[in-house]
Amino acid sequence: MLLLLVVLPVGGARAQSATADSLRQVVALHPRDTFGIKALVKLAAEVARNDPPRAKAYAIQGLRLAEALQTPVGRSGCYSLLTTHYSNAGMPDSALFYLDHLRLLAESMPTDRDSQINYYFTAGLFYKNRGEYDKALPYMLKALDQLEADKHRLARAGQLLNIGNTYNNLGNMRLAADYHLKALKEFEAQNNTRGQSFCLQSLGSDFLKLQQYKSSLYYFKQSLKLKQALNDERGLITTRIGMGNAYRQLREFEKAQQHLQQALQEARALNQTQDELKALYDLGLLQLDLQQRDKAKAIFLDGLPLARQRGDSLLSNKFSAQLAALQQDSIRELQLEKALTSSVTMARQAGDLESEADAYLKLAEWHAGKNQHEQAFGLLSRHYQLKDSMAGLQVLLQFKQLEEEYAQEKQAKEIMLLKKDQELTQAIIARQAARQKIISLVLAGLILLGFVLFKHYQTLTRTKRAMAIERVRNSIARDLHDDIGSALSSIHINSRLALQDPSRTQAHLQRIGESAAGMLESMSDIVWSINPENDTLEKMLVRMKEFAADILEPKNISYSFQLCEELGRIKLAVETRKNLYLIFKESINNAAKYSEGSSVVITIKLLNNCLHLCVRDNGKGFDFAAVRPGNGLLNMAERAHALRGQFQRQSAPGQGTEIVAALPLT
Amino acid sequence: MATKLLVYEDNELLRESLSGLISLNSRLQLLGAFSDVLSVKEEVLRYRPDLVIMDIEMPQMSGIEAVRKIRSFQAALPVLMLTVFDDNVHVFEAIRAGASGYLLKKHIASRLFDALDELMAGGAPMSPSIARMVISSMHKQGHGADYGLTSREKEILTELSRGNSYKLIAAQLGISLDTVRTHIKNIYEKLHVHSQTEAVSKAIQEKLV
Repeated sequence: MLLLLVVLPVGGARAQSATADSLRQVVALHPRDTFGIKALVKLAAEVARNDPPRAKAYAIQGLRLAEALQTPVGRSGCYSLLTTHYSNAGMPDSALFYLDHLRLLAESMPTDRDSQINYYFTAGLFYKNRGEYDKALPYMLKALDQLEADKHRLARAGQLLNIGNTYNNLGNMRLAADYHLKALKEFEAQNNTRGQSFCLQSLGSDFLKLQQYKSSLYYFKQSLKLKQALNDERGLITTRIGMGNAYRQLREFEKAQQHLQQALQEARALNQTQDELKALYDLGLLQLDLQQRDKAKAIFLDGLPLARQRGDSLLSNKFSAQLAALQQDSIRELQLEKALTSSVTMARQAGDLESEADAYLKLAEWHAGKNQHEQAFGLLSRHYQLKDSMAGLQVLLQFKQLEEEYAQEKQAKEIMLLKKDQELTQAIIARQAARQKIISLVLAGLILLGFVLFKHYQTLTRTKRAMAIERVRNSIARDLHDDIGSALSSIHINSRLALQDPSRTQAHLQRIGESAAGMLESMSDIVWSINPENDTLEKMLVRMKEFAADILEPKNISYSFQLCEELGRIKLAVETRKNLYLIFKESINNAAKYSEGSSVVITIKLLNNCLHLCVRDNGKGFDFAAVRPGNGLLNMAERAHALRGQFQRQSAPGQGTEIVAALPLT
Repeated sequence: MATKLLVYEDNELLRESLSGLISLNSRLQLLGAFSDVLSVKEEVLRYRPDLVIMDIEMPQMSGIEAVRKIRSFQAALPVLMLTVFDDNVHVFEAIRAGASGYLLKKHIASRLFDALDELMAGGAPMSPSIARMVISSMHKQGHGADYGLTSREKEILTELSRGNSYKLIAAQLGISLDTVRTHIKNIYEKLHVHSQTEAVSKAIQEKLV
């Protein structure tokens, strides 16, 4: 029998008590058989959340019965219940005792899936409650692994939630939220409001850790509503703690105090040490926020022994850390007092009455600040005594002062002479400074003007650039649609034809292959041409050479590039680059396919700010008057014209073919 | 005897058509086609292929990582990388990790068998972009870090980076096409070895070894 219900009782409180009643009847009817054990385990699970001592009593009763009947039935459930009970009640040694029994039982029945699940699940929960989250996680994942998707749907949802909570504790918010959302979905699918209330609670805590306090509050409030409707007293405690925290972070201290205090009282009433500790800790932090250090200290001192007794290493460390920090502050104050006292002693030893008096005054002020008025008064009296006694000394001091003043006067006269000299130079410097001031004012004005003009220019170019980008984007979209769109529809059509017209399948497939190859080629051309790294003519020439080698070398057509020097540094606009390259490709393809020649010469040069591309072959030539120009030639001309350039072709039978494209650079 | 192959490609359509294409060729025998490289070591050890075809970009673990893994226990097994573009840094990284060659996906239908033959014969392709990446990575690493390339090898790289074909380079330097191929093969090996020693010396510097 599965006991995941310990953490996830199904249904509301009213339904619960009805179930509990009928279970009690079953127990009464079967005092000495396995039905009775099973009913006791179920009963314990039912009341575990709202009445822990009774749940413990049922579990022990069940265990005794199982021992008396010498049956393994129900033992796993009882051990699990007792482990969790003692763990929640802050008695880790007893919990470990039962967990060990649970492990032995699971090991003795390796084929019994339920007892394996019970063990992994309970162990995971136990370590999680102790704050040893990384130790808990493997057990929890193993339990999830053992749960079957259809048979244990609810339990799976619950375990998803538990794992999410553990990830939350481990600080891995991504996985935490991931598991929580999965769990929430599962619970929603099963219409399980209790599960939903837990998931909402957990999401609230995820957001809390992500410092999204308003969203966190939102989830907590949702959870609170569901839990109130379900009368889930324990659950309400945790939600209140969460809300208290969120309000504390939002610096709404009154609301924070209210929620935390309520949580603390309820936790004590239900004997929930873990929640009590959490509420205490957060209340302590709240007092620190409110600058109430003594109150905070008292609260942390309250919590520390409780946490230690419970064996929660993480929480007890946190309490001690806070206390240590408070301690350190008081040590710092002690040191301050010591320093002040020693300054009194030192002044006295040095015989400096005035400093001694001052030191007394400071020490008195410090004690007054600590509300130690008696000490302060004593010290203040010492201060005034010293001041009075010093009056007698005053006369002697005056003599000394006169002496010193005389010496100083003598020095002053000498200094006067020097000063006159200095004044003269200073006057000159002042005049220079005035001139510099005017110059820098003018400069600043110029810079300001420049800046304004620059800003204006910047917006202008930015608009221009945005428009250019828009244009390029449109053209890319058009190209993609033209090339790829038509290739895809041709493939589509040809595949239809191939299916319907078996006699010409080969031809259709051939066409499909060609379309696909063409599409691959245009894709890579488009991608290449929009990559800004390729916008120099130099990169373009490399790609042209590569293409020429690819097409012409297999046909044994020799080729050469004739380039003028200054080409390398030219930058090309995306449009120019693309069209130049496509014209070049078309012409090379034509030479390879139709010319039947043995060599091609490619010339590229710069003339009147126009880029000239000339491709000439030594093939058989055409009579353009007789041959209808194909798509390729028309395309080339169109591309040149789109850039406001020119395109010419020359050919005659037996004299080869030459195309020339002239493209303006700006 | 047929050349035995393993294929790694995450795209299911491409993996299937690639398998179909290979099964057409009687000189090739496909031992297995996988969608990820997570257990590449176990698979290579179990099937003992003569050659591996591997996509560069795969989820979970990239082809580059997989080549590195293979090289850790198989120094000589030829690995052909598949890639969409040859002008990104992945191809260069794959070569440094120990890949023996690469093939653009757009050329699979037309050039796969040639590429496999070339690879088995010990040849390796090098596009202008890759050549440029090798050169610029030498500049970036500063003096002395030239992967131990000879001046002839550097000369060939420079010519390649300008877009000149193997044939043109052979003619220009007055050497045979096969010699050009051998040089490029050697460049591949030096890149790989250098990147290994680089990793080791880095590990020593960082006190990992």
